[in-house]
Amino acid sequence: MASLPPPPSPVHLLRSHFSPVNVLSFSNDNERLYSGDTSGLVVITSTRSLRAIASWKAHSDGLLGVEEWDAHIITHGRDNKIHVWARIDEFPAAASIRLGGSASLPGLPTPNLRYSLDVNALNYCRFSLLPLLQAEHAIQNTDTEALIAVPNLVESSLADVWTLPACQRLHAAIGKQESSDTESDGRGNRQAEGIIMSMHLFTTLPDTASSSSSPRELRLLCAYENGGVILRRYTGPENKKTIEGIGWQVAWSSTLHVESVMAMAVSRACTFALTVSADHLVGRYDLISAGLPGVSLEDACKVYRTKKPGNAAIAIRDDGKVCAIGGWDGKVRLYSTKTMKPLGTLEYHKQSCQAVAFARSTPSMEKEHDSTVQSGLLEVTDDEESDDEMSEEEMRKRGLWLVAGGKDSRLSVWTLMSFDKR
Amino acid sequence: MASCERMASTAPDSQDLFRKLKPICVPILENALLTPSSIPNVSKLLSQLVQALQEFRESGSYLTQSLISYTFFPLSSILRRNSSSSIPDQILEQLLNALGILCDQWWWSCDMTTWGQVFMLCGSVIGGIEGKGKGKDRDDETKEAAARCLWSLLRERTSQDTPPGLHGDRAQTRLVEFCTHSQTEQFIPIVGQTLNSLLGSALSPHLPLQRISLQVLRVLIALYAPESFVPSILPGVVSITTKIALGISGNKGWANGAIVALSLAVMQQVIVRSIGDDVCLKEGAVRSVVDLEDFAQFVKPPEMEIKSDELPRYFTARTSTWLRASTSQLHIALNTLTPLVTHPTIAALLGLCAFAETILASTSLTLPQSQPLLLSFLLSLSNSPFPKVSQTAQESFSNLLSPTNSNRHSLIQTLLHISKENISALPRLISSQADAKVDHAAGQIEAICRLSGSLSSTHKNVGLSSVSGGIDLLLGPTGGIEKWGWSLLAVLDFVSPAIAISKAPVAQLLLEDNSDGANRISFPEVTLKNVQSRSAYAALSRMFRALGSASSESSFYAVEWFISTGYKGHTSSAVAALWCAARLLEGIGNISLDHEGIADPSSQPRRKALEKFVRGLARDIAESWDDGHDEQSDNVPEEPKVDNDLHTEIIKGVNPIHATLQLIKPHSSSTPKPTTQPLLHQVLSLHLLSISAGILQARFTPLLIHVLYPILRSLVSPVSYISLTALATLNFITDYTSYASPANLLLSHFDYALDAVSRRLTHRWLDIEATKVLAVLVRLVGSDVVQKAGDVVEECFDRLDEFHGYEVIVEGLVEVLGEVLKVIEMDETLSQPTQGKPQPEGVIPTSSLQPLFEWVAHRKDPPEVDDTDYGPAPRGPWGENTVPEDETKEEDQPINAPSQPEASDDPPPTPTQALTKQIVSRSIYFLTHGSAVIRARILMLLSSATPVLPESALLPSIHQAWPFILKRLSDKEPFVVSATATLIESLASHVGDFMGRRIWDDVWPRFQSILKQLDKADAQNALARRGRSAVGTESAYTHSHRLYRSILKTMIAAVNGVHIQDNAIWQVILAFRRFLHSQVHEELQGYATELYISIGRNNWDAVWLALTATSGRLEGEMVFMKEEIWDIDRNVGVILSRE
Repeated sequence: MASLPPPPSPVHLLRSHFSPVNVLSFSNDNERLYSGDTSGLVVITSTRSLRAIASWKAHSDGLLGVEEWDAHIITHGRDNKIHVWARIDEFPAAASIRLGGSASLPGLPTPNLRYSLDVNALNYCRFSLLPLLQAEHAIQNTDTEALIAVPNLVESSLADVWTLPACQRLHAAIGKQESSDTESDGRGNRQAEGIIMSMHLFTTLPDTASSSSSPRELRLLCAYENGGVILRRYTGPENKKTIEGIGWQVAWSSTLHVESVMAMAVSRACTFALTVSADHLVGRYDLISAGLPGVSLEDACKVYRTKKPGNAAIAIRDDGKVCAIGGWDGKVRLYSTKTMKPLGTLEYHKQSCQAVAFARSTPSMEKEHDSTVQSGLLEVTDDEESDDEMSEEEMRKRGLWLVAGGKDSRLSVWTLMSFDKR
Repeated sequence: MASCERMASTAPDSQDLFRKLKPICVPILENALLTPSSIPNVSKLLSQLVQALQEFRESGSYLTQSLISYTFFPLSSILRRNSSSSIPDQILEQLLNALGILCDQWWWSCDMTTWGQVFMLCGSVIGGIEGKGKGKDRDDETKEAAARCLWSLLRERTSQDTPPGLHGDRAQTRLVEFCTHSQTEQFIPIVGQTLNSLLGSALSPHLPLQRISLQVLRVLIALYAPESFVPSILPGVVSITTKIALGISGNKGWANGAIVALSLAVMQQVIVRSIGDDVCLKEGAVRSVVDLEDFAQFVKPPEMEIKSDELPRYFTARTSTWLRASTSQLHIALNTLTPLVTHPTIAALLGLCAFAETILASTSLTLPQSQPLLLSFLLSLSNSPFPKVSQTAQESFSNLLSPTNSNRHSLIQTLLHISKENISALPRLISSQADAKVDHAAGQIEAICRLSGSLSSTHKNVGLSSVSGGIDLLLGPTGGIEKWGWSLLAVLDFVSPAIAISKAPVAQLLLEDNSDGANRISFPEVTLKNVQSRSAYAALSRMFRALGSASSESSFYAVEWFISTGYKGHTSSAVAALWCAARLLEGIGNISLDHEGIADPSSQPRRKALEKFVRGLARDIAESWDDGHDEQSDNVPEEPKVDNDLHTEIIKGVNPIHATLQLIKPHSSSTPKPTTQPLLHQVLSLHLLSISAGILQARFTPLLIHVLYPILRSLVSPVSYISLTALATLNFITDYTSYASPANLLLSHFDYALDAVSRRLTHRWLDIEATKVLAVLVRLVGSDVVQKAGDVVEECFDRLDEFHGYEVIVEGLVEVLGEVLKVIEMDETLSQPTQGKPQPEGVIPTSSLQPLFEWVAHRKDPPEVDDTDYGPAPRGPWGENTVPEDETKEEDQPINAPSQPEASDDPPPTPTQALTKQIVSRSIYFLTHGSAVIRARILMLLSSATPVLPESALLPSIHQAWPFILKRLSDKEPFVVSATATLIESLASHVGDFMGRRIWDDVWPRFQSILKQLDKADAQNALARRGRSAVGTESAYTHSHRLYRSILKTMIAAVNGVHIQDNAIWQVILAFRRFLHSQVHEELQGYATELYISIGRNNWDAVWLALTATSGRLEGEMVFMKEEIWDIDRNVGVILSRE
């Protein structure tokens, strides 16, 4: 610790919200920062000019999640809706040269609503999006571009998986099977886990040894009210609609927290997950080795004790080395994900810090992926302009950004050190 | 005669002329022998002849051969029949004039003898040797006529001038004939003699004679002097013409411009013809090496050395020895021409330009040592303020350096050499304070740069682009800037100007809407310590600009080097480095901070590399801002060491002369200069920021996020030099980013500024000046910023809690809060009209008994239930209002009907009101602050918050703070007391019913004691009013006056708005009587009168009783109240008349 420089002060403060900020996310190319608050307002902030590109009331109630997905924006609100909006593209050069690029410019555009999905948002659980690779759904000959996991429409302790953009329920009531098996009266065991607090839908990596038959296996990691985490995997045939959780098996289940899980983050490579709760514990779940024969669950799912109880948000950086935990005391603490060694404390917010997000570490590679989606010509000019506007050094620095949103309705932007050479 | 008539009949014009000439020529012939009686007649006739001939010539016709002969005859007979001494000057002059006109046409046809005779006649007249060797010297006019006549004999004719009927190349053949004739052995002495005479007459102070002499000289040397003869006359001609050009003969300062040009032309001719490359090559004085064969012959001795005795007389052989001797002399002569580059007339400068160009072009082999000199002439001329001159000079350069010119390589080398010489000489010149030389050296470099810059862009000129290549080299990574840069930086010693001139105070300029562009703010200048004159300073900065604009992107290296040196510290050399970098960048970006007006942005293509560089630069400067000023104190011990390093480097790097110069001028030891110059450093950083904005123009806007704070921070600097520069910077950026005014710019980007300010007010990072920036921001932007600045205000208070011991911070923060309140005040007055004054309740019972009756009637009624919902009234402690409010919102809103808040009487607090509430509730703790100033400021803050806030927000805080407020009434500092009184006054007038009891119970007794104290204090006050039983002070600006005023106003408000207790009112009436005294300050009298009138509305009898008794109008029991020392009659009259 002594070798580390003192933690920085925020490099920027954004005041675009008037209600406590709930959710935060970066676009894949780091150009846009999405933030949502408890009033249902979603703001897209340009990471260059640090001004709102769009600011609109997406939901009539607080936001649970917002995420950019190709040319769409998915917002999830407590008004039991998931909206999919057309992404607003504002070319950075245009944004800055625009006459009167002003702090108080009225008439920002509102994204167009593409379609909506009715969901159950009683349990504050954010959706989990799994975009399918283009090649994948081309082979499967379906128009499904992504899968989205949300809590079950009726029962908040169960999960559904829907397809987008068709809005078809692919898997219904995941987790129902095992619970109803044990108790005949439809009560009891299910209550032991309580409602889902957070979930993450992902597929196994193609090269993992566990799935030899099919290259990719759908998995769903759920964190529960009772502080437990359960990984389920889908063993049934692909693209087959299932109900009542048939075809989903519990891979493993681990309960590390004594309080309900407040937030869960899964590393970008889906190799491990971290959970925080109201207590001072941080759970670390090794998604690769857990459940494998010969590895005990205690080794794969470890609990780490931090000094501060009451954590509201967690985020893992793209490289999987550093995680940020936002606390109810408004401080953001950084930990090494391997050892959970504290790396520093970022102090700005006076009230609870409810959302944290890391910028993408490697935006350039993501951008390539992006440009295949979009039309080529515009991209090229855009690239030129962006090179013009921002040096690579700045891009790199932006890749080290951490944004925290607090109950004080402000966003603080921090530039972290890379923690690489130590 | 018959033939003449025949001739005349062929041409009608000639016929007319003949008729005209005949009556003139015949009498002239008759009087050919001049006698004193005939002279006037002849003179008249001659002038008629001249006139007739002139008229004829102007008509464009040509004289026929016979007509010429006819006219010539009487003229020649005059010359023949009279001895030259007997011909008066006047006659001779007119005769020569006529002859000149004749010769002009005769040239085409006359025979050689006549030509030679006329030539000799003119020559002898000019030389004064007509007749038998001892003629008299003719006057200047006659000489002029002779020279003119000679001119018409000698001047070249072009084929266009050929008269009709002659062959087209007749002009050429005639000229060759004459030249051959003149170069015959017999004629050469005559030419030489004439040259000599002309040189003599060229020195004449008579301007027309001088001019025509020089013209003739030029043509004579150029065409008629034999090639081998010219070297003989070279020394004489050069020496005379130099004298003429420099105006040495005359007693006035400068020679006439045309004369200078003509004399230079003569000199040019004689130089080119005598030692030009071609002729010297031909005679073997020099050898040119063009190809390998030439090189092989180089070692051989020259084949033929013409012996001088083989040559005819008067001729000089061109040997290499002769050449060496002549050229060295010539170089000296050319050197004396240097002052001409500053000649004030365009003609002279153009002449010099042509001279230098021709000599350079034709004597590259023979006169190499003069090349630098001549080039420097041209360079200086290209810097000329006359556009025509500079343009001509540049054209000369482009001719000289054009690819067709074989000697351009040596010229380019010389140019580069000049630039290097000058750059290396600059440090020495600057340190020796030789301003003129600095001016010159900088000018030369500038001219070279401009040359390469201006021309290489238009037409791709190989020679010029290699010049710019040389400059690139100088500024690029291999240019050794580490060497010459340091020596330059060491002598560039900047000081801030003694005064910074501003047309208006900074804040005022920023605030006022000065849409008229008349008072554009210019950057205050930095001054060089070693360079006194303005022109030298300007030349230096122009030089750097030119260097920048001439070089390509490789000069970024130099800029980077300067900047990195500049940001290593705040030493004077760092400042100089920044200055150099700024000027170079100006050049690269083609903008200038000095000139007003904006360059046409569309004229320049975008340069991406430049923009990228500048963008990075601006960001780095902005980032280094905070570091730089934080480390200021840390760096001080290190500085001297760095300085020493620099000094060793100078002594090593530059010429040894430096040492002696330092002996002469021990400037470094005489005045100890400050080791650090943070002020100038900051100013120059601002310059760099402005230049970046100028280069990036609209694309600068994204950088404002970084740049705005440094500028604003400098703007609020107490040093007017910095703040003016910052203001100029802000204006400059505003202009280049196309905003209408700085205020607009700030308004558009206040989020950036706010962001920057709030970051500098955090726990980790506290910038004292940030509060001032915030205050400016709030003042400028207004309510927009207030709505977003809630957290900043909160930060302010957090910092206040932490740093309340430090008055500076506290004052800064309180100032911000004051600004916020002012803005809110403005908003509120706009949004809500002033609420009606609460009906004073105390009035009604005394005036009517109606309420009593009503009460009696209804006293048995059940009490009305108050079922109104007061809305989201605060339900928690006032200090933490935000938390409970949020909770109520979250909990209540889904349940309650949305229309609920509208039903309440009190509107929900606007963001600004919420903010003020926050300010008030948190600031009351500072009422007990150790510093009296802060106590007063907080009290003022509260009093200005009072009219703004809704009662529900204000009153609890006041209630809580009431003991502290009261305590302040007994404060030691009178201004705190007066501020407290102001607060109470404000409270009483705005929330009277709330204040009722407090005023009568708490405040009034204290007021009473204060009044007593003041009474005592005034007696000792030097400012107290003189005069019998005077009250108060003379001035309205004393604390006691303000206190009185506040007390009076408070009481007026109290009387109007508060229920009055009778015993108290009587005391009031008694206490304030003295303010009705006519000796009291008028303002206080007015308030006192108003107070009594107000009291009178409630209790007229008491007022009447007290006042009339005091003025002594009552008798009896009330006599004891009579106060004779007060002269209150007038005011009492006013009061009583009101009822």
